[in-house]
Amino acid sequence: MVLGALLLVALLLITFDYRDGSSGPLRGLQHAGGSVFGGAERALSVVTNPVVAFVNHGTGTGSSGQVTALQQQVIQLRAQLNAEQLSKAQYQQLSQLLQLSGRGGYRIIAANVIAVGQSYAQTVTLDAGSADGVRMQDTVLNGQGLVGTITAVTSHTCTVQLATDAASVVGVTLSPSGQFGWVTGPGKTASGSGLLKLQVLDANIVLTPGEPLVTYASEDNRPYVAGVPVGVISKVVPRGGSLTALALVRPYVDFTALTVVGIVIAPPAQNPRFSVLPPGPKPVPTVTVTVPARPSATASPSTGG
Amino acid sequence: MRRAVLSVIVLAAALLLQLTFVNQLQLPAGGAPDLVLLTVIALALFTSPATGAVTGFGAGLALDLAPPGSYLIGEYALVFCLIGYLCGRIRPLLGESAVLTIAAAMAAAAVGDALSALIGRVISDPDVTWAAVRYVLPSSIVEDVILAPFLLYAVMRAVRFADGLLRAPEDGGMLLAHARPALAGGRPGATVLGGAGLLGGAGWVSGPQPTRGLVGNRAARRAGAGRHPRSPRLRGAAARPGDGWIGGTRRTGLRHTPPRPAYRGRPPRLHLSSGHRSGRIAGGIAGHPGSAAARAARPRMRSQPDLRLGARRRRDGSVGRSLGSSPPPGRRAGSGPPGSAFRGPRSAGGRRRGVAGYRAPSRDRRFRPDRRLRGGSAIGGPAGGGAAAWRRRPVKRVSLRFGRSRRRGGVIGGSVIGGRPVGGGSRHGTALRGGAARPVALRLGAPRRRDGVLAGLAPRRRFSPRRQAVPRFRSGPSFGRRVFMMLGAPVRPLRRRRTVFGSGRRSLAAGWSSRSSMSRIGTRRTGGF
Repeated sequence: MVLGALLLVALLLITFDYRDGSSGPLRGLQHAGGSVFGGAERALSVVTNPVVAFVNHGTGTGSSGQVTALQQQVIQLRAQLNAEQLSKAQYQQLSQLLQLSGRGGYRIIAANVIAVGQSYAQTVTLDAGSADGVRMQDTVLNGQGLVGTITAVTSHTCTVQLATDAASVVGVTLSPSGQFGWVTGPGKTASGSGLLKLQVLDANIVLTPGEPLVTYASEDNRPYVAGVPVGVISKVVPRGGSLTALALVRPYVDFTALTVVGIVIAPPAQNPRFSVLPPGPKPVPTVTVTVPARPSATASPSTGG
Repeated sequence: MRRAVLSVIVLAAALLLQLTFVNQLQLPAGGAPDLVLLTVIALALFTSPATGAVTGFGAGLALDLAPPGSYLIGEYALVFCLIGYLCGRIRPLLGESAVLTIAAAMAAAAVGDALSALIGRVISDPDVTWAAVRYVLPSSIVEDVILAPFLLYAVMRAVRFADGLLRAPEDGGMLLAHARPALAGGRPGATVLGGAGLLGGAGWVSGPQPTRGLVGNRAARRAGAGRHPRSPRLRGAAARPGDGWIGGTRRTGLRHTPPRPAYRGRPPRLHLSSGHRSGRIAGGIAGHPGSAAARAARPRMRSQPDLRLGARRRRDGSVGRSLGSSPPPGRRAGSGPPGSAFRGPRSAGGRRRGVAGYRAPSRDRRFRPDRRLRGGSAIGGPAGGGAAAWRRRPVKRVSLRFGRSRRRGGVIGGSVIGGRPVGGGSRHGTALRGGAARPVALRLGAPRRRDGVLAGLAPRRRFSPRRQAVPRFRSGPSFGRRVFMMLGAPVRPLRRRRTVFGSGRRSLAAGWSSRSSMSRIGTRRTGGF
């Protein structure tokens, strides 16, 4: 039976893919498929992206879109307000984080979203690949904050696992308290249009809505470089006896309207993990001072450096 | 081949459009329509289960591999493979009805969405949480269901377009080659039919053909131009819900089915085995819908074209019966059984026969319609010997077609077959006879499934131009039955397969179908009568 044979093949593929992980013959298959379809998607996106932009912003979601935009503004303003309220030491710490990109020698290349994952998947494809220096587990961000990390690369395309993916786990730091925690994606759910879930190990910590989060450094800067804004706490969930504090985080990034993103392709030679950050080069403080003067400092920290 | 190429192109387009455009849209609800799924459904609804499964698998695998990719490779391949198979399986039940076809597409879309969610859960896709399913599934189902008819139509148009492009050069050669030289002769109609077969015998294709009959002029023009009239037309389908596009296609498919020589030479059993081929090639299509029936038909076709026709039309049990009756003696049980069964008197025997002859089964189901049954059954009895006659007499076939034109004319078909005015057909039969002059009308009937007779008649090919029977929505009663069939049929076919294994697909399928139909028919008839 053809059906039986095909089903068997499909099941075998699933099994092998599950067991092989990041290696195995299926990777070759995937790579080949990615090259072929990726190239086609890349070519087609030239046509579709403008249409998508028009549809989403023209007719799109109408008033609800405006509401969303206003919410985004509120979030950004709140984040800025929080930044203003930080203690001097904390502020220096945060500003350093935000400027890690510039100081640490990150190189960010811009890429366009050319394809979006099917149904439940929280993945997108970008039009930059290994030919552009993109590697697995590079950090992806945009003007608002953390977008995700690279999970697959072909010569001219790469796939990003969004921070909202249910399989995504991002180490974060609460900027005011310096507490460590991790954020997991909600997958595709209606609740709060993709609120991330924050868990903090310190059982005694008191989480408060409005607290901003930035990524915590990862080993070798993969999958996430440090200091990328993630979001703000929007709601604290009653602990209910669990050992970890739980809160919902509203991400800075609008994951439903990704267009241009940046890929961090050149981590600094020196490991800039938060905990071992040097006080900061002397020239930098000057720059730091200018940051608050610009309302958009949070949005584009790299310009300061 | 055409179909294969077309399928690849259409699926690739759907895939890219899905990933680069549709998924980026910010739709009010969480879900997004799945163009790939809908395309698979549209393509599979006009092919055999096997082809549908292959189509689905290929599309799913492409979706798994295309850049954003799925959680695990093979996830969508598994889901779409099943959907493609089911669509191919359901096809025979839909007959020529556009309404049923659309309904089936919608249902398949909903099932596909649900199935993909289920598979996601089963393989522990982290993104497929119950919360996500609750959020995404309802809206995606709604969107897919809404889009299904449009995509169905789009795919049909694409098929027609492709056919138009390819036919011109190939028609002469390929089609003619497929058609029997003797039967087809130089008639354009024959070529047309053959062409349809090539296409894959997809319901679409066939659908258009019958329509052509109506538009005989068009067909003629096209033929003259070197084009094939075959191109699939929704119109035709729409026009005649009941009209067995399927039948038309199947026939074509059967006839076209690759090697006629093989048919003739091969014994019925062989057909079963060969059925695979035909199914794949063009016949597949024809065969697909009625997979069971179609498959069975092919074998018959080779041996006896007439018989198959009858077989093709489920409802035309009468026709088939008549045909079948005649052939059975000489042939295997399959041919004879169905017809006999239907008829009241022979019912018992018919069942038995039907069982024996797996091929006929599909036809039997359709017999259900009392009208047809009556006419058909009556006719069938006498017609029995008709099959042989058909072969011998091409001209008569034409007359038969007339009868066919009327669904109910199942009788007619019988008469035709028999060459006599079948009593059973009497109602229609007489009318039909009168209509004999209307060869065209007959063809019309042929398109209608029930007119098994028509289908059976190879003559159609010749008449094909005229055939263009008028589509009829009448099938009101039959529609209900069809729905029932839709619901019940899928299960039966499966069962059939299991039991029949030894004989081969066709035989198995046929056997099953025959059984089920037989039993049903018998009961109903008896009660009705």
